[in-house]
Amino acid sequence: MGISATASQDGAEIRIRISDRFDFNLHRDFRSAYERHGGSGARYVLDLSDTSYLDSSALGMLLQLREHAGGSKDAVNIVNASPGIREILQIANFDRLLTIR
Amino acid sequence: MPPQDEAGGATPGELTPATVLVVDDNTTNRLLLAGILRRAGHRVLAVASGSEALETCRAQPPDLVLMDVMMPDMDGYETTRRLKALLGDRHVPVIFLTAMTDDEALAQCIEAGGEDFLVKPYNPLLLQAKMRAALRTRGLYREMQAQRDALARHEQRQRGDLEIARKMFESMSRADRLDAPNVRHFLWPMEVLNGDLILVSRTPSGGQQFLVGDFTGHGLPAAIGALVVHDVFHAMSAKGFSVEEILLELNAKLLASLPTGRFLAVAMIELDADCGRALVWNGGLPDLLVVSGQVVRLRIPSDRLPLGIVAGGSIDTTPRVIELAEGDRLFVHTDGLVEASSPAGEMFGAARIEQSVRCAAGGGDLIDRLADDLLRFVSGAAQCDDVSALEILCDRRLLAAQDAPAGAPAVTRPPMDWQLEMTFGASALKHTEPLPALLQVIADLQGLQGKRAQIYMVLCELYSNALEHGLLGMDSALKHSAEGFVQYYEQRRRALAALEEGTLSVGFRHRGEERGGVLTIGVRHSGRGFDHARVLPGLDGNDGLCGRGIRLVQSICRRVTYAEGGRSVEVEYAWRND
Repeated sequence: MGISATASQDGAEIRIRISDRFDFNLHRDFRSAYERHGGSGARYVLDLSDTSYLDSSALGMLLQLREHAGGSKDAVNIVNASPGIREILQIANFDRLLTIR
Repeated sequence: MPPQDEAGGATPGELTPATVLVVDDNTTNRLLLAGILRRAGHRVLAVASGSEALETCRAQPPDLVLMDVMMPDMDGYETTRRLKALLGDRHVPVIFLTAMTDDEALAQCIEAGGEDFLVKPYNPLLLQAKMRAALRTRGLYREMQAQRDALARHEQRQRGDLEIARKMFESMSRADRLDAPNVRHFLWPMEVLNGDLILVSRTPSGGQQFLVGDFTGHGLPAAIGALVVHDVFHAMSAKGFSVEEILLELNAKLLASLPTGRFLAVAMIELDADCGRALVWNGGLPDLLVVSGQVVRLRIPSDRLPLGIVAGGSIDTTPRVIELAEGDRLFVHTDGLVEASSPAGEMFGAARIEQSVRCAAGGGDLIDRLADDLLRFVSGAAQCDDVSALEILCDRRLLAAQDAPAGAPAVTRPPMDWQLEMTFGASALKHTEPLPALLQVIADLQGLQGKRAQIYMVLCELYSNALEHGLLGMDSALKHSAEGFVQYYEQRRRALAALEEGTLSVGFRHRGEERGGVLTIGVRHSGRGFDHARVLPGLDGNDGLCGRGIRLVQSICRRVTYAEGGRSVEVEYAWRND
């Protein structure tokens, strides 16, 4: 349940895994995860393989992460999103703001 | 002197000294316990029966009760049950005094409402320890109750504030034309304040503009954002600004005021007065549907970013053009409708929405049917998001039957003589739509608010003709075929972007008369003319060069004169003070 984050050896890439529901309840944990591990200039990889639900406040959190990471499209990468989650990101056209693999 | 706590200092919630009620029918036991307790510094009330215990508690509830189990008449368990009932919300711990040591005895104690039990003969240290533990629990209960009460008071105050805010919000929404005869909707907010909004306005040219929005989050921040959107939308729409311009302004305002992570998913629609075409823009809402009869003819997906995320330069506010037939319906909804869940946790889903849409007959039945289907589906399950839906019926007569736009309060000015001309070069024509601003100036100047719609219509006709045929060299024949319409506007966009030279002038001359005036509007351009003497007479009954055509201009204005080989046109619009 919740968030787990690991940083690479050189600290250039931070991998964050979010399980189950990505919603407002994860707000504080999510923020401390990326603030603790890295700053702007690092690359963030969000692994959503276990994420079954994502709402608009989660989209908001992605925007905050993007800002923290410096604002470029390849600074935040989303991987292993389910088709349902992809669709939500698609409708919001977030593929223009982040990299979705 | 109370004994010192071995750990040093009192633990939170502990009461030293405490008022202890001792209930025991055996006098020796009573005196023994009372002695131990008094030496420890506590205040003791000692009674010999269950009924006396109840009496005492009714008068003055103690902090703790030591209850003998074996008593004649009412035993310890029964007394405790009645005591708990008597005390209700107040938590008073009960420690049973018993000779039995087995597990069943303990279970019975707990079941009767006791905290713990003590076995005879009494060990003073153990008694103290158990009392301390019981009083600690009581302390926690007290704290929890106090917090709960404070929270309840706070919530009540906040609800009161929100209710006031909601009323204010409602009274500010008077500019809204949600009551238009061709519009049906439902808005079901999740909380007192809605994070969704549906706005409808009448444009000066007789069409309608719609905005359906969904803010991230709910409650107060969303509602405050909604007020900003509401004001900007209505102010600009009443002045005839385009969908593009309104979206740009909204984006700028939201980007400036919303914190990162908050944005507005929104769709905008502009329906022209003929209901022949609509401009549509979708940034973040589920597919907009165009329904012909019972078929979903067209789906407009979200292909733009929601507002408030990126700066104006990175956002494409160009709407899509779609053509409509009489009786078509446009359906817009927010994701709350899709995600509404049943008690079993199943989502309503896009498929069910389309099902309801397809089964609906005409005449506004869609919204009613959808509302019914949805209510039946969720059947009492908790609402987790704002739910909103809008249905627009493309019916020219219904639209025309509406009252004129409310607009600004009428200002009357005496009829005056004045004149104004503005000339636009290629760069101005490319980057701006000058008519709303111009109209604003002349309407204000002469107090012509009530004539605004007509003057605007005439201005639009003359301006588009001059721009599209004169300067961009377009052929209006394309506009009249079904697919051609969309192509026409695409061509127009490209041709305008490529325009390098040319000028277009718009001039106004006003002559005041006794109780009215004559406004002469002239439009001139430097491009391609046309043989007006030959073309115009043949326009009888035709749609004309574009839009509602020159026919309409001729019916509104008392004189329409072409000159300079068709490159200039002058019309006279006469008005009277009614």
